[in-house]
Amino acid sequence: MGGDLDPTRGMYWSWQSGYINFKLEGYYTVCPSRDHFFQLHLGGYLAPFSSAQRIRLDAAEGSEIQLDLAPLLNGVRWEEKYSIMSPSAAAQRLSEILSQSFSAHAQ
Amino acid sequence: MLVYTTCLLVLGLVVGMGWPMADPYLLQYPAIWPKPAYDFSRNPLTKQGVALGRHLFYEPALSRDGTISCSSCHLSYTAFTHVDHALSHGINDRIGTRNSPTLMNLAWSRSFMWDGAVNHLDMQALAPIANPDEMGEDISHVVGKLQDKAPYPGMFYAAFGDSIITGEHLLKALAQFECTLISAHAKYDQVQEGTATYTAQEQNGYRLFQQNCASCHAEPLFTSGEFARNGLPLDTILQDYGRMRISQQQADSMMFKIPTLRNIEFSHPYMHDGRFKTLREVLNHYTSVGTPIGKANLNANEKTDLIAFLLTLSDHDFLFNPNYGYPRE
Repeated sequence: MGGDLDPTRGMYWSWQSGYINFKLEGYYTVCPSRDHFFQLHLGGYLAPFSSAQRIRLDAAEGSEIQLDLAPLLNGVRWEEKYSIMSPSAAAQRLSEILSQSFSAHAQ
Repeated sequence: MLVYTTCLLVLGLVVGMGWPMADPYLLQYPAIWPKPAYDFSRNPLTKQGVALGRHLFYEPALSRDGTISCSSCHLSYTAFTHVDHALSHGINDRIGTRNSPTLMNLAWSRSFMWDGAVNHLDMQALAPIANPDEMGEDISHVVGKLQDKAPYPGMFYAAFGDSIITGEHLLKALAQFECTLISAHAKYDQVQEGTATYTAQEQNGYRLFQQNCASCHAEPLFTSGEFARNGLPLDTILQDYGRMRISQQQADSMMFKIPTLRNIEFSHPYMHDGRFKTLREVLNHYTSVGTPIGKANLNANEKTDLIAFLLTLSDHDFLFNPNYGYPRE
């Protein structure tokens, strides 16, 4: 829980245990929220809504790891599910999309 | 009559290495108890760490407006619960939805809060600090306030070898102090050790306890650590469905953490929402409404005997332990 995992870094829930494994916030005109604000906080470790994903990448030393956000952004239902802040089926679905979005590239 | 001859206090573990300049703190608990669930190798108790945790426990700067400390709702003289408050209040007199639980023998607990929302003692304090009905504060803001407040930078250095305060060290210090809150010197414990004997009434109460209560309130900690549905109807104003909020499983509706019965004489009012003022009301619930597995069968005299036994769980050494009170220098 030290360093980047320190709960002061904003990636730990307080009302229940668990790290927020992925956080994306911003504004998108499609969202019917105030100022079109969206919050995606993906986390949760208890079945059936665990968003922890094991990812294996075969990478040469010095490779660059890239995360392609397009599949996630295309996978969010922006008109209704723009606010995700607790473990849920939606969080789990998006975490599965994210787990497929990493790639390694040799420099 | 059972005779226990061998069980005396053992010294608990000093495992792992903390900041080497800090002095190890020896945790003592009865030999017949199970091993603690807390992994001391990841947060070795030290005298300096425990002293810091005790300071933090009584520190109102943990709350947004500087009015509420942990001890506001967890008073040492009442087994660290909020005496006479069915529901506790935080900053600006805001009222929460639950009765503040006792704090004792927490190193043996595998889940925290009435619904088990928290899975580790180190992480527990985050919940009341952030809850708008309790301290309404942000952990990173607390760290900033303490960094500018004597004696904290020096105390953090003494405990962890770093005067730059972090969330990790703040939480681990609080957990260290809480691990020292061990209640193991009640009359019940003395009877187990063979240094005291029950009255006839207490003995009968113990028999009734074992028949009716012990499967959930398991000895020697007087909780199995599990969750249970104990037959309480939903409070329609509070709308608290217990563990279902955490697991989002219908099967967990109205499931709440089984609390310890130690020092129950002082932890009234009772139940997760403090709806019962007396032990007699609690027993009346179990004999009239009952739980999903049935009603307890106790007549009025048996209830009196059972309560007599429950009073043997009062631990005055714990309640008046000078190491637990407000830290006067």
